Amino acid sequence: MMESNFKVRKAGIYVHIPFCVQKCNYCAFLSAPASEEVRLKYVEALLQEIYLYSAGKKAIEADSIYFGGGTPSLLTPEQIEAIIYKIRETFAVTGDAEITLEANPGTLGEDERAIFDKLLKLKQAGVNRLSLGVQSMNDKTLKTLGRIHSSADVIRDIEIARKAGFNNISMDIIISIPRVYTDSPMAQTTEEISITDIKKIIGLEPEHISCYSLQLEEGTTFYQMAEQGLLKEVSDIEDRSTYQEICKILKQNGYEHYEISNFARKKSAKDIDFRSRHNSKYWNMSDYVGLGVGASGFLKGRRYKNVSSIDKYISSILEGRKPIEETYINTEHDSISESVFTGLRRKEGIAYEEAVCFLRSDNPKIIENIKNNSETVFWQYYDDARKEAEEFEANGYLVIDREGIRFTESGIDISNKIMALFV
Amino acid sequence: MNYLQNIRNFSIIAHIDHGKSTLADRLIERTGLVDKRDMKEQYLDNMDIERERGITIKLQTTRLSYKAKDGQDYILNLVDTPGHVDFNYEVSRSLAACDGAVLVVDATQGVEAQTLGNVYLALDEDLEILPVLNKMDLDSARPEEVRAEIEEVIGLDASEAPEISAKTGMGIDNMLEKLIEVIPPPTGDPNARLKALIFDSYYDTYKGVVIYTRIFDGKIKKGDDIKMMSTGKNYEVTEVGYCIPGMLPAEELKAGEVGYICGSIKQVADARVGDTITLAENPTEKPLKGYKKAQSMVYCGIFPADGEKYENVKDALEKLQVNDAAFNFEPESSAALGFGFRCGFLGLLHMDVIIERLAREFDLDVITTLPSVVYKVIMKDGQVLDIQNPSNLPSPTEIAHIEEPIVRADIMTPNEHVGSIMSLCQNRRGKLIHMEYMTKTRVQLHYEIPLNEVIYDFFDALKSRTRGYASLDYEFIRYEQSKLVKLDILLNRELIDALSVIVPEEQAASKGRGICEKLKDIIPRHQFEVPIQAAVGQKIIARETVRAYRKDVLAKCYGGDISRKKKLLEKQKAGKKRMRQFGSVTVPQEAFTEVLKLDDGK
Repeated sequence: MMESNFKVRKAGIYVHIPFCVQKCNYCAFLSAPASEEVRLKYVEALLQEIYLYSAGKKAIEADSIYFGGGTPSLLTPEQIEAIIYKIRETFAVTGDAEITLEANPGTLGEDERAIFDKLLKLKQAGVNRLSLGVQSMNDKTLKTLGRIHSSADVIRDIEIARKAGFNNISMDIIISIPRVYTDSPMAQTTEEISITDIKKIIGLEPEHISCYSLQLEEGTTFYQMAEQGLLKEVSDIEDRSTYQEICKILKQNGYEHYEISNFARKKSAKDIDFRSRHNSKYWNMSDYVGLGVGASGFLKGRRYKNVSSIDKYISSILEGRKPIEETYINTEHDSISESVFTGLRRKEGIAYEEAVCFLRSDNPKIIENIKNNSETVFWQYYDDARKEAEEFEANGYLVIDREGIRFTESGIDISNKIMALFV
Repeated sequence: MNYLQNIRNFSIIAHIDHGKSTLADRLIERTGLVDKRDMKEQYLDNMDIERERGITIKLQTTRLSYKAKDGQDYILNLVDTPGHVDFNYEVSRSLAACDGAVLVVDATQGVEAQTLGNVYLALDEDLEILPVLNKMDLDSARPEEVRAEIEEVIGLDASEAPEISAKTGMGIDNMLEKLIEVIPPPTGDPNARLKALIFDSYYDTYKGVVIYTRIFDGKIKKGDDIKMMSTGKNYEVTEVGYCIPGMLPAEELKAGEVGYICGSIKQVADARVGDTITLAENPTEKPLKGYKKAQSMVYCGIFPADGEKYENVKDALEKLQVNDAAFNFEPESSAALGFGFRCGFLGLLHMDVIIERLAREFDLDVITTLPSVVYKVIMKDGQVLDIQNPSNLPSPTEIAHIEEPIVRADIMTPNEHVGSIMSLCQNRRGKLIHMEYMTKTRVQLHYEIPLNEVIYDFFDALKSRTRGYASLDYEFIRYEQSKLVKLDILLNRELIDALSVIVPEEQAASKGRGICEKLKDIIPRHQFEVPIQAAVGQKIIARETVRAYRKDVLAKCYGGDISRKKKLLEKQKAGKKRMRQFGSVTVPQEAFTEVLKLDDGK
């Protein structure tokens, strides 16, 4: 078992909802349209899966719950409430837990009234953070992506969400969306569209913004189109230039660039931290429980992944077995390298101490020594990577100091290359 | 009755894939000397590489016994031959050990260039040839057409050619009867002075070099002092015997027989194929005809890859050489690749096999440079230099002229591919000497072509242009004066000697461009721009730039799926290990061999 020697953080709970209204052209996530009946069965199985974790009698302490998808907002507020209730029953969830629901504009209700009712019920069920899949504020781009909503839907939904009392809202934006060759030409460049998008989004004043470059993933409609030569992909140069411009604009508007793809408003008067507490767990080696089909979890040094077929998922649970497909026990090196490459995603980078704390020893003196000399120990451990790391530093991609290492802004553009030094 | 009447010494000759080794398997199985359960597929191909590629490189020989329908027992000595153009000399020596040959022709494919090449070699040795139609179990067999083709193309009477399937065993008995009838028994006088032909040898850890021999005259037994006629060296015989195909010691070997001889010989180079063995005390006057020294046609550099030890590579090469008289090497050093070896081979396949064996049998990680031929450089002061490493080419101001080896290439092809083969050969500076229709649909093209053009990827180009239907046979004919220059490659303004090539002057610019473009694809992006330049002398004739990398970032960690991201990073890291550092530029190791594989279509 590979547990860190020092910090004990609270766990997060991820719940995967693999349903959507229609599959988007770029989407490689485990998600597909499904009937109400299937959704019902799935939620029943999910409740049962949570129950399978009850043997530990609330041994796992959690301070975040995250409904990801797919489109979790396709579930009824009652279903969400039942799941949250069951989670609270099974895990030791803190009173101030961050409970996020991914919601897609256009899936919350027929009209303003219905949307308001649904959001209010979700709020009452305990959801205190909404993550809206906006992706773009350009209707033509939204169509290219295969989204079902328009920019007007976004504006309407966020207004209603505010009225329903949501004071922690995140919005996703996708940049570098390829052009479809058959489309009529657009007046703006891809970069200009993204800049307009981000400005419109900032105008809606979300507390948190995630910004991703579109990636062509195998198995998506876009991928097929690219293979047939129907897509005009965005060049790396334009992608990076867009990204850097967006980072600049967000900074000017008071957003902190706290992770490669994530931006948060500074703490509010009420001292709410608008960074995503849940996602931070992926970047600081915290434990997280993965619930639902295809979900990944990390508990006490073990990584596991649930089966990705809904049928298998349900049948496994009916047989009283956790639907886990793969379990992997991290070695010392796994945990150290993961802590480095996930930690590097953060603005703060990785502190040596956070990595070397995974070095094992039965001798408390050695543990103490590692803790007190984490910089030396770290570079001894990564002796083979040091020379190249220093080259990256000399070229302005990396900052190496006495506490740890972190990317510069240009380092983010080539982050994989640098991370690969440490795996 | 004379014992010679009951011996038949024969080879099987065939084009690659026409089923020679499978037939040999069947014969061994049928004549009962190998237990069926010990039968591996293709018994005679005893190296892994041979079995995988379905080709025979090293010879194996075996003694079969067969009770014929006439009631007599016959000894059939099957002398196997290597199946590739690189080993023509070896083939000719094994054929010289025989009195006849079984010509296996694939009844679905017909006659191929190599079939012809081998038939000519066999005819040169005055062998009786028994044509056999193989793969008759296949629906696509067309025996009548192929019979006609054999008669028309080769001029052999094929009307009584046995129809067999080496795979199923069909027709094998009939073929053996026919073999005894057609192939003559050996001649020779056991009481004359010893004359024995070495047709193969290999190194055995316990016995030293084991010589495969055919005795033409005289006898040989344990304790005899023998003499190698080409080197004049003497050895004491420690063992003689028959190959069944394992070693079966015997009292003596006498005229007409095929077997093995051991004599504490340290390396195969001292028992060179084609040499004549005689007795030291009572030597024969004249050796058997046909001995030739091994001549390397193709050279390349072999260097230890990063993290591999020079000594390990040297040990491995030495071990390979002990067993392969045609392979030679000497130390060389390269500014780019450090200390390594310049190695000489009979041809491309021979080179591939050695390199593959280094990886497979010795588990070595090596970098090989582009193959090169031997150029004769005639200096202004009259000196003649043999240059096989492009970076050793003297300054152009000192050179009077350069000569390069020319081969005769015989290409056989279905007629619909003639056009594309001609354009290929033309691109490769080939001169069409003659073209003949062997049958209505099969054409043989005779070219004279610089060997330098054949050694890069000529085979592959030929195969891809003819969907694998063309076959090639080539032979060195002469050196010819040619306008050649050295093309240098600079990375980040540094000359990388291991990438230098010698090219015809008129192609320097296009080759230079091609290489730069190829390198641009092969060399990964760096933290800075890397200029790639091709130069002849001081003059830069082509340039490309590997741009500094802009982006290598994967935004998402899918819902906490860290493993997925980690696999990606691990793959990226593993890719880096196959790289070589030159100053500040990192070059993948395959660059050294891939760089000249230019698509002729471009």
